[in-house]
Amino acid sequence: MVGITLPGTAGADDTQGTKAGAAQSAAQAGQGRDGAVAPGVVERAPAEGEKGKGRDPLTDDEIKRVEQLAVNPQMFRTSEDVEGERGPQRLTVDLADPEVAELDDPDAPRRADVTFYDYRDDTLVTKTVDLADGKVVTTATQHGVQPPLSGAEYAEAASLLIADPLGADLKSDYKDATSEELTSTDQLLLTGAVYRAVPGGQPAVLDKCGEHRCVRLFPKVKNGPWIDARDFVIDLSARKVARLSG
Amino acid sequence: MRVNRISRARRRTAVGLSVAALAAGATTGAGPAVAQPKAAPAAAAECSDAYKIEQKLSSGTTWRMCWRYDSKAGLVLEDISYQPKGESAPIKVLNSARLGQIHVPYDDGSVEYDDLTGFGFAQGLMNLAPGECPGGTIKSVKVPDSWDPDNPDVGGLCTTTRSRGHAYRMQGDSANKVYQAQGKDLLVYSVNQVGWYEYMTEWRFQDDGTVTMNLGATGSLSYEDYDAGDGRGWPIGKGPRAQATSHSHNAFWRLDFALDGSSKNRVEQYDSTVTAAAQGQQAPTTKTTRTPVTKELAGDAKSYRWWRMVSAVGKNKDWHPRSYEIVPGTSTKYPGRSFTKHDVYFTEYNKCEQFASNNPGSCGAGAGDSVDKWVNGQALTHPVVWMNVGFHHIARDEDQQPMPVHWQGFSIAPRDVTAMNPLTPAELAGQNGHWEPRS
Repeated sequence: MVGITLPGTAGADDTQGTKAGAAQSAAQAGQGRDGAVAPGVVERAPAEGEKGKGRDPLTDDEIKRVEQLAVNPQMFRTSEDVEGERGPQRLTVDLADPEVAELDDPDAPRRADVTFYDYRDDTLVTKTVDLADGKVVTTATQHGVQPPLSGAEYAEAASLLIADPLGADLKSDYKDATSEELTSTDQLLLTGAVYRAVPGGQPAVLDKCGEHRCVRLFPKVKNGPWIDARDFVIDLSARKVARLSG
Repeated sequence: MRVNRISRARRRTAVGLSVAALAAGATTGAGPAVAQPKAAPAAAAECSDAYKIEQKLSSGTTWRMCWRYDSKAGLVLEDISYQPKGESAPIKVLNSARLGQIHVPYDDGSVEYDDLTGFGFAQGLMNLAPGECPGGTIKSVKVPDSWDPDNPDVGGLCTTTRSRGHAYRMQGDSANKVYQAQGKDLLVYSVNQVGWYEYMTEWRFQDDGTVTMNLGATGSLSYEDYDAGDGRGWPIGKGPRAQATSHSHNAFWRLDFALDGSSKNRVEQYDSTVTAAAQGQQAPTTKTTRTPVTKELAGDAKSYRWWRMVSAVGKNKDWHPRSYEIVPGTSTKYPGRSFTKHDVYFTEYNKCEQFASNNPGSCGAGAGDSVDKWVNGQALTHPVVWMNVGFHHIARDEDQQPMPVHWQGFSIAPRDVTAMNPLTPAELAGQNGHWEPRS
């Protein structure tokens, strides 16, 4: 037995038995009469109820509710988002894994893990919320832990870069690609990598990255090419942009 | 690991007859079993129909599972069960199966990515064109905070079937009788873009019970990384100048087994040693020994070594405990980081231990943020498997353009899940154990 099997014939005949049965099965397997494999059938997004069951993905309603439940007034008053506004920066809401004692229980409580970043004191906050009774089951805070950035954070990082003299290259690359000025982050698709400082690895202004929330952006022109911006690090906690010496 | 420790089950000492038989290379079967297998009650449906994948392959085997999409891990398959044609109920295999990290260090030391926990892997789920999922179905996935905010619902999950060639072949007694079957697989896959790379996360569920998980990397080489020093890259394009920087993709999978519906599985390691032929022996001898892995372990793959996850509750119709064997694939183990130094980690289940490195889960002060730190002597009562498969990518001219998919991965294969080959044709059902042809 080898660990890697090679792909076989795509959508190969998955049939046996009578001719009629074979024809029916071939149709199920998406095969035409000539034996060519039909393209996949694209399903529409499933309709969501208010609440999911079991291990269903979280519904939009559940996500909204969990975000509201997780931020109590005190947390809202004392925290800051990536733009410096009141309230923590929302990161993710996921269906929580079960507790160890619930591993084999098909009726295990349905919970959500919600994460926030508080830019006021660089804290990652993880809360687990019971979806049945709406209670916050656990709250954990961590410093120096930087999960992937949210869309809002990528956008803010791009705004800071565009507004900074160091964003000149990005703007000129954008203009080269599109003949238009880059004025808004909406013109870009944004992803990026968390930047964590290492001793002697960056200009001093970036030394706190890791404790601070920092990113190297990978911008792409919407319906256009990638732009290489990896020389620049945006420290979202300090709202500063710096260039890595290369 | 640490904190939320619950009472530990006493160490099991079930050295079953079946294991002794296996180690001795003998079988003691007595024809088709009549005894009822010991099986856990079938669990209730764990998800709504929209999130179920159920495929009955033409050979009679049905695979069932639930899917969801995680903001970091991407595709997560849960409640995975296998039901070959001779079994009256689904046999649960896994509670959960997903990627546990993709760690990408560059050979020149310039950068190191953690694609799942520090990059937009999950956010970058890609729409699949209908032609990319031949004969199958493309499901719509709600991607949290998706890369393209205008398109949060991504047609990004393909389920389809494929033929894999011979499942078996055996010449019958008469010249014109051949027992043969063409194996069929259920395939489940998605594509995530991370920078210029595109990762294919592929799960292959075979009709013989084997599951193969592969990560494919395609897309485009990191196009600005063409200034590698000597020994750290490979010239791509005309002449010797543009050296594409070599790098590693160290992929981790996290598997949470629940054989027969119980997560209290046992881990066993098997090693064989070969001894030179003694006087009077025609050949060297080989002896296989079993070592129960009762505590968390950082394991190293080597020749003549394998592991298996043994069901705590289920036996097949031959009264052998059901198990799944871990079948490592080719791996280039990256010695540069503590968490990539071993091929497999068996850790005690802890919900905060989510990713093999840069773990964002909150495990408490001093817990460590990578899988190697979580191997600290705790008894294994609910073992979780972290498999590390490394690929060292030294680019070649053929990598442009697009880059051909390069694959890395491994398999889990049933060992005594059924009493016989799950695809055995009815005429051969009596040929189990030390059978004798009828006169």
